[in-house]
Amino acid sequence: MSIQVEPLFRRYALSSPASGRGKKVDGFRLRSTFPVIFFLTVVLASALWGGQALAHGTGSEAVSEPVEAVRFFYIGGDPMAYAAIKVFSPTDDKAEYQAGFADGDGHFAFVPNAAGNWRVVASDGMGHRAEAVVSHVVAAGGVDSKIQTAHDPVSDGHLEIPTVWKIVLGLSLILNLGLLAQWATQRSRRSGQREGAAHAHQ
Amino acid sequence: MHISEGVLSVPVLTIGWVAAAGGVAWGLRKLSPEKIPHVALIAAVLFLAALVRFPIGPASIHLTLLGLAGVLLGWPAVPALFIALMLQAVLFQFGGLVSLGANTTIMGAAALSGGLAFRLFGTRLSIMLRAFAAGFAAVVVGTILLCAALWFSSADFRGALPLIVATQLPLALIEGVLTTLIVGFVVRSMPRLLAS
Repeated sequence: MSIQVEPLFRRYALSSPASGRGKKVDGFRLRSTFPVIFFLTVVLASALWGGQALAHGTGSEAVSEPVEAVRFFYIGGDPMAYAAIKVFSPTDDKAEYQAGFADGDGHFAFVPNAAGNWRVVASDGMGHRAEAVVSHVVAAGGVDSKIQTAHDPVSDGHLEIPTVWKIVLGLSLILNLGLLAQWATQRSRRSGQREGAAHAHQ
Repeated sequence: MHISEGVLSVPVLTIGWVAAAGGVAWGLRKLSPEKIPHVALIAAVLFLAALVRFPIGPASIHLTLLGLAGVLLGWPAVPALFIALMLQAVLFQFGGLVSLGANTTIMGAAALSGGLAFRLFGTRLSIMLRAFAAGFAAVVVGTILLCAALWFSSADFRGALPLIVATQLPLALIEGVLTTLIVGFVVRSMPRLLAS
């Protein structure tokens, strides 16, 4: 068995008396290195105890903090599946606080770290964009939140019109506009004919 | 094919509005009084077509019937689209009022391409093949312009352009078949609609 040691450590080990009161293992004197190992062990143990030295360790735990979840969908109900999401904090509207993707059903969840209006923007990369503002309020008795979308007539204080009535309204406007345009052109044509007849009469 | 608010850059929006204004003005100039009821009816059809949605993979697409509008109306298809898109933006939040110019330009050019494809082949092809070409070409041209608008607006969208093409190609085939069926019906029942 051979022990690989760093140069500095090796230098310390070799500098110990060659007479060799300590036990020699492949030219490595345990007695002379023991204080160093003990010192490092104590330092690392104290650091781990304080939770400061877990740089490369990973772990997971269930989160009990308030999680805000938003669902993005197309008008008609189809989810904005796997849409790219950007979350902007109440304090910084330029640099995103978090970025990610919605799930297959258009859901996205995040954990706000402060109270205020959090802007969540979804883009499907095909020119469709939806925006939701999550009002995250940390109240004394718990957390209260309200989610409103950028084009939400209910939250704007207007009445929501059922889709069927919107369709009827749209068709009615188009067809009435057509009738109005035809009436206007016929009227101008008649007045033109009258003026022509008056000129001919004179 | 509707581009939402806040997606396009200011230069692209400006170009879109200028081109749309020109297209609408020229379309109104080419609109004869006798054609006004037809334009209103086609505008109503375009307004409704966008509500027919179906999923293709993770994306959701909707009918446009742009090729049909180009075949039946020609240049007046542009003001018809403008009205339909404006009402869709106001009532259903499809697209938006700021991006209305760009959307009108993209779909108007697509409709005109469909009409051009229909008339380009003249009598060399059967009317059904020409109708299919119109429906197909309209979606292809619309997709190219949509990709161009997104490409020039932000580098963020460039990665998604292959996905757009992949989802719009099936739509082009569907629109081609639908345009063929509707033009076939028009030829049998109201051939004078195609006379102009």
